[in-house]
Amino acid sequence: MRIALVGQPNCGKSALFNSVAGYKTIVSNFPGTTVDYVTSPVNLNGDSFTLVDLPGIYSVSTSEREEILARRYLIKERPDLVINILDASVLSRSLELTLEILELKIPLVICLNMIDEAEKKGVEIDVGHLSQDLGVPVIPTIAIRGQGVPELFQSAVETAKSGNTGKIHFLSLDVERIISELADLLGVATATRLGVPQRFLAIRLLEEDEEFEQSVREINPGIMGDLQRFRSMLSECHGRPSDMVVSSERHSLAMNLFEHVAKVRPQSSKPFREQIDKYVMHPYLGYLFLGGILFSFFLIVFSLGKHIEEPILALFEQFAAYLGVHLSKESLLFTVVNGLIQGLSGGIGIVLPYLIPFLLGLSLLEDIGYLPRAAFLMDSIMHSIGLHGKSIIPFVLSYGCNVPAIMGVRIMERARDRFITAVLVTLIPCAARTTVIFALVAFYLGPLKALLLYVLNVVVIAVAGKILSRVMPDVSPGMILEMPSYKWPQLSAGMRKVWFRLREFVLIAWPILIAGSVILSLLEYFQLDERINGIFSFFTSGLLGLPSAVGITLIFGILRKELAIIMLVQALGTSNFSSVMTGEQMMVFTVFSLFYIPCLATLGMLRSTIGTRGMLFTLFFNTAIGTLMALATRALYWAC
Amino acid sequence: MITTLEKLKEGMSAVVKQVHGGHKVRQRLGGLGIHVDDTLKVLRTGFLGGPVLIEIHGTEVGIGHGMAEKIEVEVMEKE
Repeated sequence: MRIALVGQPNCGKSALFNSVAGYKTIVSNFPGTTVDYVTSPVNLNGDSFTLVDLPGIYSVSTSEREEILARRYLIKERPDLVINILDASVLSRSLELTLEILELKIPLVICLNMIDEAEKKGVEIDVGHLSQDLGVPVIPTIAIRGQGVPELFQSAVETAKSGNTGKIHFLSLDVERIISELADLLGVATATRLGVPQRFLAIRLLEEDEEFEQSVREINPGIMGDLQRFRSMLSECHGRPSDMVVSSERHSLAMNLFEHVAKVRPQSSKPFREQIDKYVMHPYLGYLFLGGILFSFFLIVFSLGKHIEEPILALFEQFAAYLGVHLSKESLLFTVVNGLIQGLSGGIGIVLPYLIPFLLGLSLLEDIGYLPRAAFLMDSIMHSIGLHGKSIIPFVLSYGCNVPAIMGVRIMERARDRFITAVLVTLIPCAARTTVIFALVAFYLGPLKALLLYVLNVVVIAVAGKILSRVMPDVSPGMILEMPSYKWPQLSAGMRKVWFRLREFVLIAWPILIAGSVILSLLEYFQLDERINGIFSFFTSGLLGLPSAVGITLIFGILRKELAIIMLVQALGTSNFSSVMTGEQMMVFTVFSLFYIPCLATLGMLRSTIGTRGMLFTLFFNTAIGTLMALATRALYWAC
Repeated sequence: MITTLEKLKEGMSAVVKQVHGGHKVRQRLGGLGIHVDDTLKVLRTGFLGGPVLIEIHGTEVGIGHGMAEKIEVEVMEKE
């Protein structure tokens, strides 16, 4: 038996899923967190079934890719039962989707979730009445606390067996006449081939659903003329396009249902949310809050991280030194083990100090419900580089470390936005690259030039953003984002979310990090650094005019960015760079290492977020930018 | 007075009269319960090309400036 969870974004589907299926999907207070569907076998009350968590959909008619996925699942895979989860605090809106699902004639149970939120808002719902009106069981729940969940699934299993699909609700008479005429014309055969009831198909077509229109045109092209005729009949009678006629009718039907089953008590005091939002969303103060929150988030994560990272790295170094005594330092075994340790310490040195505090902080901001508000405030600014407000969080965090920033990209619901943001985020100088900028440029060439580099970096990111968004145009009609109510974060849910995200980093990024670091120590062991410098000298000294000894340091920089500067000491045989490098060379070296190939941990994260091809693209894209900017720096020095 | 959503001032209430610009925009707004003849209240104006924050059917929705320009509304007289 397959049971699918369907509901509008942020109605608590994932919370319900996790409460019975164990922690397999991310719950947050952000509309649109589940972008793929997750399935899990469940044993409950002695019944076993497969539970499917689908992405949230506002409506069955949609053009959003993630939402189409949910719809296709319902139609093509046809689960044995649908649990429609309704956010009780926005019941009238949620009922519109319910009315659409009823048309699908799949056995249905209603989960009236967040019933406590509704009560807080002064909305009293007569559950018995609602169940009568819809013709299906309605179970009130508070999914995040597991309240009402056993009853819900018990009722679900019973309903799946009885096959109760509920009542169809009719629109006004003239619309119904057109629907039934069109349904008759379409015929049973066409609807059956598409796996939907005739009436459902007729309504979809009147609502100008692209996907269904396409399929019907292929199966039965003769009907398109009639369809046009029906559409214009509707729009002429009502003075608005036919899709609007149908959706408005459904809307008023839902409103009537709502008024029939719910009582709204007038509230004496302004809701908590409004009182907070007065400041948090204020046109000026809001930005002050946002800046303060992001800045302290950044500060806490990275100052905390540094204090934890240093002792961890020291511990690993001690261990390596200890091994060096016992295994012969020159042996191949030591080289491999040392590479392993370095890779492992790099991984742990990022995960423990930075990722855990970052992910905890992010889940806190998410669960409270602040992220959509930050996105709202930043929307117009991020729009200028073809992105949306939500990208601001990964951008800011990237100045600390790119790895958690790329992980933060997942709060965006569209694949295109995730891709562009992930690529741009890798161009931001993280703490390690900041060391390179400070040690070379600020120290030898002055702080003003270092500042100039940061400005240049922002400009490059803006231009790269423009280019990427030109290549991958934004097809969404603009931001429309629901502001969820503020909620108290649940510590246990937050911790599990952190663990869930961490596990992925460990599984996908660590192997790259460890393998890369072993390869680098092998290069050293076989004394291939000279040869590598030789191979790259056409690029390093020919094109960029740098000492050819920097070839190997740039390669080490891929392991950890600050290694570029540490290895430079070794490669040039001095820590006084000004004695062996000119100002121009230092600038060119810094500019190139600012942009070129992201570090291995970042590459690993990229791979797990935007796929191997996305990772390779970033690698080439960034190296191209690095080369271009380094050449431009050279040209600038020549010109001056 | 008929105008578009992004021109409203904070605290104003208005009735949605028309949604311009394609089927996709209507679909998206409809999904969030925003239809013609619905009443909404502006909580934050979209100044400097920023989004507008409205309250509708008891929820708050942020609407991008470009989309707000496509929503024609009639301002309700203050009682």
